[in-house]
This record gives sequence, C-alpha cells and structure tokens, in this order.
Amino acid sequence: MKDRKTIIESGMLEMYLLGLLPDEQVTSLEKMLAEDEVLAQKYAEIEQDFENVSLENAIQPPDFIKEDLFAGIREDYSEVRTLPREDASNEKPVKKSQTFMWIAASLAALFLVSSLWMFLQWDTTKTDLQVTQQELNTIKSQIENLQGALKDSQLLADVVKDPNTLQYALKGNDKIPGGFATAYINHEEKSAIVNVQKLPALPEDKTYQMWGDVDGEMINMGVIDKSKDVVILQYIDEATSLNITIEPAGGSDHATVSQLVTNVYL
Amino acid sequence: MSNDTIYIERFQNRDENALSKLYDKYSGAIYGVILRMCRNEEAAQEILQETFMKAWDKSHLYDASKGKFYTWLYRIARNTTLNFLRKDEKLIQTEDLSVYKDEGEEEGETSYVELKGALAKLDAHHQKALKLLYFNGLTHREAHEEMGVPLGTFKSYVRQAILKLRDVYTKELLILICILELLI
Repeated sequence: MKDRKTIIESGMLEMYLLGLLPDEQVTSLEKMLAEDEVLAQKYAEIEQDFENVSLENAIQPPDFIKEDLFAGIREDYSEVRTLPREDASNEKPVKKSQTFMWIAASLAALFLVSSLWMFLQWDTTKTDLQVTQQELNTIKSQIENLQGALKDSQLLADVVKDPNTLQYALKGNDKIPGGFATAYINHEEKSAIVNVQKLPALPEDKTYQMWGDVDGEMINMGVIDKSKDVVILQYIDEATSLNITIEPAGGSDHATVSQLVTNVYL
Repeated sequence: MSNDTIYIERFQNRDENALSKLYDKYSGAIYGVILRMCRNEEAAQEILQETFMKAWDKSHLYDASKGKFYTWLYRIARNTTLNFLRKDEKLIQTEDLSVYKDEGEEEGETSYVELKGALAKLDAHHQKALKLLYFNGLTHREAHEEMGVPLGTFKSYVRQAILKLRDVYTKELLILICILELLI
C-alpha cells in the first residue's frame, strides 16, 4: 500500500476525482481515505477547488433543457402508472376454505421465522467476513511494506558489491546541517541510486530533487521519495557533478539553485 | 446539515423539487464542462439532459461518504460526453474525415472555451494542464502528449497547478474574512 505522500504526489487523488483511477486502485485508495484524516482532508480540498473552478467557468444552459428534463421524468412515471391492470370482471370468485387459510397462515409464519433466523445467521457471517477481510488487508499491507524494505536492501547490496560502482558522499550544507546522502553511480550499467536515509525530513509542500550537471545545465535525475531509504534515479551520461536541491512538492522542471543543499563532483 | 445535503437526501428519495434545486445549482457548471468537451451546443444540451436523467435514475448509487455530489455528477457528464464523442467520431470517420478536422480547428477558440476565475490566474502551462484534464476530458497520458511534455513533467504541472489554485482560493477566503470583520 502506498503512503500518503506518494499518493498525493503521484496524482492518484486527481485521477480518482476524475474517475480515471483503475478499479483495482480505487478500493485501496477509498480504504485509505476512510482511515487517513489528513489524506481525506487533502482530497476534500482538491474536490472543493475543482467544484469552485467549475462553478466559476459555468455556462448557463437554455431554460428549455430543464423543462425537457422534467417532462422526460414525468413521462417515465406515467408509463409506470398506465401499466395495464387486470380486468376485475375476468376474475373468478374463489372460495377458500377456513382450513386452507389456517394452513397457509401457519406456513407463512414458519417461513417468516426461518427467514429471520437465516437473516441473522447471514448477518453474523457477513460481519465475521468483514473482520477477516480487514485483518487480511492489514496483513497484506504489512507484507507489502516488508517486501518494499527487502527490495530496497537487496538493491543497495547488489549495487554496492558491484566492483564498477563508484560511491560518492554528499554532505549537506547549512540548509540541512548534519544531512547526508550517499550516491552510487555505475557507468558500466548506467545506473544511479542514492541512499537518502540521512537527509532530514522536509515539510509536506517540499521535496528533495536530484540533478546532474551537464555543460552547466542542471538535468533532472528525479524527485527523491523520502518514504524510501534507497531511491533509483535517472542515470545521466556526461554529468560532471551531482546536486540535490529543495523543490516544491512534486518537483520542478528547472533546479532552484538557491535551494541547493549538497553537491559532489564526479 | 447543509442545504445541499438535505436536497441530495431528498433527491435520492425521488423528490422533484430537490432535483430542481440541484439542477439550478450545478447545471451551469456541468454544461460548461460538456460544452468545452464536445464544442457543439446542440449536442451539449442533449448530453446535459441525459446526464441529469442518468443521475435521477441512479441517485441511489451516490454515496456522500466517498465524495461531493458535484464530483459524482461530473463523472456521469464526462462519461456520457465521451461516449457521445466516440460515437460521433465513428460516424464522421466513416463519412468524411475532413469535416471533423475543420470543425475542431475552427471552433477551437470560441468565447465559451475561455477560462475564468482562479484558473485564469495561473501560469499558461498550469492552466492548460488543468483545462485538458477537467474540461477536455483527456486522461493524463492523452494530455501530456497534447502538451508535448513528458508524463512526469505533466503530472508535476498538474500538482503545481492544484497547489496554486489552493493558494488563490485561500487568499480570496482570507480577504473575504477581513472584509466581513471590517463590516462587523
């Protein structure tokens, strides 16, 4: 299960709002929205702003549309109302014996009691099933988290033990005193990963982003997802230095150089 | 309980008066979306009516705990319009391709397409990103191709645009509170 920040930054909330999120993700997102108040608040804000934008860009439709709409609805009703009724004159009077009435009443009562019993059984089973389902979901999410952590560790181990991997230490400047990141660059495999465990947490509206300097131009290597310890970045050929800046949440197209927190020459 | 909540509950209980109130409140916003999507007034009017008919028929499916009524209505309108456009495209493609192409380009900049309010205050690329998603009914993949930027960049445009929108509305709200306090 994704964490709150990833959900917000990945655009899942907007996709959900527009009805574009795949069904398999809808269920888990709705579950998170029901459980995570901060996430639900964020979604409510996006929804409210979306509604405001739509209302500000409203175009008044012609009046006859409303009239046609109500006419259409009433027509549907009248179709229901004018369903042919059975002709009473065709009905043949049926004599029902007193005994038969008693038997029917007893059967009906029996049926009612057994239905009630079955309903109660069904309701209990349903509750049990819901509890089991919830437990299963919790276990699933724990397994996913563990798998994620294992994958990160395996990735780091694989990269570190490769003799072609070069290791670079990125020591934070006074914007992040004590902050530290380690980059692993493999020019043979053309891969770049960074261990960001020691980078301090940022406010929700900020993110770290990594850049490669190519002929004086900062090329985006990717936004650093702080929910992970190890982040895979885009390998940039011919980069002469690695740089990390603080950018608005979601990342920037161009590096905010004034927000540079660390860099290292390759 | 807000007026909207009461009307929505009554709407779900098949109250025509509640439908009328909700229509008055949201038909303009929904019509604005449909018209910008299909760029054809006659079709947009039909789709608007169909949208509210569907909402009326499926009112029991609306779940307030999962989101706002407008969002639910918007999704119905968006799907109905896209279905119409798909059918329309098929018809035109089998008849005469040039008709469709000319129509799209000529009507591209008519006055109703212009954006207003907070959205119009955003940078051009943020405005366009939200317009493509909200008012043109495109998916993220279609929209990033339309804008000619990588998907990641497009997503960051959307994210930034949404943050800026929030900023604009928060500021407007603060100004409103200040004015109200001055009046009191």
